[in-house]
Amino acid sequence: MKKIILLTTAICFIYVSSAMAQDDKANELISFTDRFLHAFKSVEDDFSIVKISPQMLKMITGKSSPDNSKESALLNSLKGLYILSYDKGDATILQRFNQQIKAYTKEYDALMDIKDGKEKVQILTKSKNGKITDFVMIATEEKSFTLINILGEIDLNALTELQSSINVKGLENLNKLDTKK
Amino acid sequence: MESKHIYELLEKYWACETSREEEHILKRFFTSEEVPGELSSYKKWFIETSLQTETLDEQFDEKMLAQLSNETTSLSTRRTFSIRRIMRVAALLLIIFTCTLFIRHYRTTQQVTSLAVMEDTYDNPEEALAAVRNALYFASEEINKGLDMTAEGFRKTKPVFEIINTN
Repeated sequence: MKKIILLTTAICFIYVSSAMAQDDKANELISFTDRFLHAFKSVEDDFSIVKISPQMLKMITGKSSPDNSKESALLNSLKGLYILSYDKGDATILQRFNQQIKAYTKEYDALMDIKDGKEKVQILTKSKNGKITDFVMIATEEKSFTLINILGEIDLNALTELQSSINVKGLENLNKLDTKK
Repeated sequence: MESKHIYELLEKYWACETSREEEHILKRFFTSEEVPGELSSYKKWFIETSLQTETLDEQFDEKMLAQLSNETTSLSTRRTFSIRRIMRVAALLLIIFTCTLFIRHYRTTQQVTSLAVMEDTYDNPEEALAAVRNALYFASEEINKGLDMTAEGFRKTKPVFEIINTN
């Protein structure tokens, strides 16, 4: 009887520790946006969602302008990209959004908090071995928000220098993106 | 002659060496009316002790030992029982915990499997490139805005720091 109990306990402990480790690894695999969308599954249709898979990124890397090496290098290092925006102005959704963001941001390092008039931009990163592997930018306004989640080894300097190469206005274009769900 | 015998018995009595029979003789002697004057001082003692009727019989020790043995056995049985019970409860809790974790782990795996499948929004790489560019340039613009604001903050506070440093 004692042997059975000890054996059961040992098996349980081994299973518990391995399952916990696997869960941590699984959480790493799920992106910020995926978890976010999972929480908002019931109202997912109210969001504009853009998903760019690693396969698509590989395809578009070859199509980027050859004279802009910074852009090509950056695209080459990406493993996925999400753009999520909401502009319906529902107070409940916006409140839930802020709560969810607060819950997820605990796992991330805050890189920047910018407040420009009514717009508030929050930049969060997650690093692995000293390299940024997950980049999250959340831009919130009174009745809308936009979330950009970039996955892959992101060179922050290259990303910063990108603006100087071509001047493109951001948020306006993002909201006008033709999205398919 | 009787007094001599009583003296002998008394000596044994005080030395706690008397048998129950001899104690009985002493008690009977001292509770009788005819106690010689030299022994009358013991009379009170024996009258008082003879009033204590409750005595321990010969089986007392055996009974006591048997009772003690029973109590020890039941105590150890109770202890063994309670340890076994605790172990059973702990094992049960561990099994419940493991089952809960298994369900959670299964759900997480399912979630990962469903979420890891990343469906592309665009079929056309040109459109995808435009979206990626927009996102990257927007991010770049915001980072630069933040850096500019930080630099501006430093520029504004520089004179204050200079004053502090000179003082």
